[in-house]
Amino acid sequence: MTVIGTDVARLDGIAKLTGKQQYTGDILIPGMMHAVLLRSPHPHAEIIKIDTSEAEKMGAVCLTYDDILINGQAVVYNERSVSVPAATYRDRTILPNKARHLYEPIAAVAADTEELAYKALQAVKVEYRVLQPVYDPQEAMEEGAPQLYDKVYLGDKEVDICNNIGVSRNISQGDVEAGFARADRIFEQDFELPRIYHAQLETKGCVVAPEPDGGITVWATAQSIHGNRQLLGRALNLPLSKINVKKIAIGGAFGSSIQVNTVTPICAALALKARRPVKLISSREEDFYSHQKYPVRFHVKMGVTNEGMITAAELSALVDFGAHQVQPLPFLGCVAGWFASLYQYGGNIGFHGTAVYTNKTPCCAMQGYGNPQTNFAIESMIDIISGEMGFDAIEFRLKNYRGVGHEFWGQGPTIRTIIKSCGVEESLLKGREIMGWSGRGRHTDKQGRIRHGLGVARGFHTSGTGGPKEGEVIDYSSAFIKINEDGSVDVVTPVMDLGGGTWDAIAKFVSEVLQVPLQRVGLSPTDTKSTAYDVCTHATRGVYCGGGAAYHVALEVRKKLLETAGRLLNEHAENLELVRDDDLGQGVVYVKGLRDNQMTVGEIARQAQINSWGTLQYAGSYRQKNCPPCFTTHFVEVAVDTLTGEITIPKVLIYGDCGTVVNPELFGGQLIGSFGRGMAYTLYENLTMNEEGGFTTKPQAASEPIYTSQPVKDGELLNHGALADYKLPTSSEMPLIENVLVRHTDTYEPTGPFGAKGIAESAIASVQAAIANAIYNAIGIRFYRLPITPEIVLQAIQKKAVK
Amino acid sequence: MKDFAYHKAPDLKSVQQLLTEFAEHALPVAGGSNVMVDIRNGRLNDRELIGISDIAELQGLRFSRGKIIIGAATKISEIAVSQLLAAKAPALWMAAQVFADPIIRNSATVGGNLAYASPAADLAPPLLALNADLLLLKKGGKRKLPLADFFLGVNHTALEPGELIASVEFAANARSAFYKLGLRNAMAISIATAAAAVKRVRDGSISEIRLAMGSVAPRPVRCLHAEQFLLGKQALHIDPEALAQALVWDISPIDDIRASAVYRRAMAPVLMQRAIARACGGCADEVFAGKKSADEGRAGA
Repeated sequence: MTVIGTDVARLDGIAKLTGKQQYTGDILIPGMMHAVLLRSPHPHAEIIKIDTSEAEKMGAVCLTYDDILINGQAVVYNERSVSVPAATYRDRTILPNKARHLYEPIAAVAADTEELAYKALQAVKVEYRVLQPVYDPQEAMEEGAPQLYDKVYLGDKEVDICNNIGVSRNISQGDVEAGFARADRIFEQDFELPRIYHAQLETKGCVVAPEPDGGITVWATAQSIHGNRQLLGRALNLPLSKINVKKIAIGGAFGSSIQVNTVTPICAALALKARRPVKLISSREEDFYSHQKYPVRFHVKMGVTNEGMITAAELSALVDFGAHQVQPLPFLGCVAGWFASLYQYGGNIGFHGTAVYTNKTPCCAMQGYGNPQTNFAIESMIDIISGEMGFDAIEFRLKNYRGVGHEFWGQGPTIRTIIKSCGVEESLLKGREIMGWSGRGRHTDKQGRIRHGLGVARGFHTSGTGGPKEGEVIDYSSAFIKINEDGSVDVVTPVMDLGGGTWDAIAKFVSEVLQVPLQRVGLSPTDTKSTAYDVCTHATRGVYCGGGAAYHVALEVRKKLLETAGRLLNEHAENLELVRDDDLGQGVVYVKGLRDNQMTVGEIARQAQINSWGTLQYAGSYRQKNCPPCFTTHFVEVAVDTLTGEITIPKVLIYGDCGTVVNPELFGGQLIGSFGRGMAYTLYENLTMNEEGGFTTKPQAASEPIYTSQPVKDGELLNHGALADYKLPTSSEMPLIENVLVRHTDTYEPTGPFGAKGIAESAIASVQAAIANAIYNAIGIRFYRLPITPEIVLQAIQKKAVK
Repeated sequence: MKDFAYHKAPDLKSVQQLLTEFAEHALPVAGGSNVMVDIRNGRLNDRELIGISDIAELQGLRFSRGKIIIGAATKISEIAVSQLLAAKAPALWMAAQVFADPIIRNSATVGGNLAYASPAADLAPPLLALNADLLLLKKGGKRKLPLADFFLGVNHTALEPGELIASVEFAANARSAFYKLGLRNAMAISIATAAAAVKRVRDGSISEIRLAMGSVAPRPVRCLHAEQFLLGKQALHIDPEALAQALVWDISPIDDIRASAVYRRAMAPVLMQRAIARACGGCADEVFAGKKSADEGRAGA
């Protein structure tokens, strides 16, 4: 019996359930100081002078811009380092000399207690020259708009910034004009998706301990320990051998710790200055102002023939990414890639992307890296075209989708792969039977206060960012595996598990390759000093790439195991069989066909030790040379209350294609949890801020809510950074669990470990459009902007009734 | 860091002493679910908190001779699980079902919800519809005040310095109901709430009814115009347009982070009609049937 595809208790389950799991915030070191951050009360201001003398008199250690200079220069970096340097824009320093968004950290204060640190913080005096902010991306590009930067760096090159345009990217393939000319009808539409907040459980934090040798030990909220180490080395001018970043559990991230979190270099610089360990943990309010999801305004154009073939497609994307680049360059590339990879479009694709600086919190990856945004636009568009041209929305998709043999852009235009496994057809065909697609009716047939509708959308995400050729993005992973002298196995991997069960998958792969019971596979606590590089747990690459590396290293160990067994059994290694023996509780090796002549793995390892032949171990790095898409399909039933505008979801069918399912319960958990997050994005979440002081102040639309019970500063979020006023849906808004149907397609990815690919981010990609399409089916109203709140729905219903 | 002092009062006498001693700096606190938030965000500073949560006289529910008396420090969760209230004052019970979330319900109290005088206080509309009175204590005296006279404005009440809410009391009324609309099902301050309590119905037509709403005016309000309009109307056949017209005179909603005034005006009659229908057809058994019925406290369920 294989462990792959069976449910087992999570490796970290007991620690997490009993509260024994250590997170960054749990680290306590004798003599440790507590740090707090001084944050700019202005969304845009030059910092003229900071006077820390009063705070220092109180016993505090303070860090300002002057402290971070190395030979008079501040090191300029990008917090995100998964792209190659030549494709990485650099615009920030550990602390800035100019505040570019409200509550940007501009100084740090450490003291013996948190209370004293806060008191000292209040004694720091800052002189600002207040500048006018700009909030709207369109306005930011206008002549005369306040400029956030004059110049930044792309790789080693200095780049001038004009009109706040951080990045623009145009990508085309085929002949778009000719494609449109062949179409019988052309469709064009705008779509808009808001800023939202990651709302991960653990806020960003860091503990740094200076070591006697001049180095530092670091515990940080991280999706990549090596990413943290490399950035700290660069920002602090320390050799990497002096920086040890510990691998520690993380309380979720949803992409917000792909980059090194802003607090981490600050904490490290402060600890080095104080020569004492320092802990810096963000409050929830601070966290809200630290990272948000990219908002996008789209314009989509598609040409379609009367036979239902899409002949060309064009997508324009305008992104307001905030005050710093946490890499809108690859973001735009990925948006182009998700768009290009959904349908064939007759091979004629045009993409125009513009990403603009504004005086807002920097945006970064969040579950899908532009995929949920793009998918909402394209999959809504497919539904619009189907309705307008009288096509069945499923048949139309089946005619045009990209499947086996087609090209998939896994991480922008430079990382492409040929699709080898694909569950799209199965999910659409089986899904429509299960959900009674043909009986869904038209919105014109529906009556009564509560109207039901059924919608479908399909999506995907990549599994990792590896391609046959090197591209803009770095992707490889490493592992070290050894068989201990009793047959148990230690696995040392730098790969982070963000809660999705990546570590479980890695342990299962090793268990399967070495035929050792899963309980005898241990994952070693580790750090950057004792592991080789892994880029990051992002891009749904944990199982496919991180697991892939462990799988290949395990194969090498297995080879050594069989060679050693051959010496002991006087047989050629190739004539040996390795199987797990559950009665013995470990693997056994025997000569094929001769079960009598066998040794346990423990006996082999022990004998190798006694004979001084060495440990059965291997360490290696491995790059996946593909990035197979994992597909999802969502069939969503909605119920719209036409009197209140409220939308509930009585039933949903979720199809996931992750190739081989490694752990069925975690697979279901990903799909159900992400459905909840997608529902939140579609119907609930919006980070509205006060933009009154912006460059050109627009009159507020009547529907824009104005917070009256508490004053809101210019540039401030209307929820004041309070989770209680950021209305994420709770479990009670979810469909009842018996009405959440989860299925996996019957697929096998030939390039994945045991046929597996990823699932994580694909799980949210098509939720948004499926809900919006279902709403259209219920009430005949198309929504082009998220979130679709009750108030907006009711307005639209009333407007339609008046017409 | 914010400064405040906390004094745990063992009995009513010491509460009154502390209230007198600290005068305008005194702030009685039981669950603290609003007070601690306000201290943290700086809205409250330099206050002397007087802990009243352990005082026996301020606790518990009693029913005698048709009257229900609830101690001010009674937790919302006690109301939410009370079969007595489910049967005899369903409007209040329904409000407790959808009040904040289970954790807050375990600390927040009836008196705290009223004394904070939020326009969105979820217990206020049902208690107004039930025509409740407050028993107020002061050193050397006590008085009874109709709840309708208690709310003066946002966070502003008729409580005099040194005065403490001891209990709330009202006549049982099984024909009462409450609905809430929020941005989500739990932990959501109301967009609007509506409560109705029918006193008398003759031949299917209403001859006495009390209505109240929350989050649609600077304070929780009785809907006197709508009440007047409903007299003589068939309980289950009310013209929604006409009800909406009458309610316009009772409410004065504003735009805020949760909803616009326009949306609130549109929701007021929808919620009120549901509450009236439920109150008129109201049967206690139907209300008290676990989660499903509890969900019906929400407008959209």
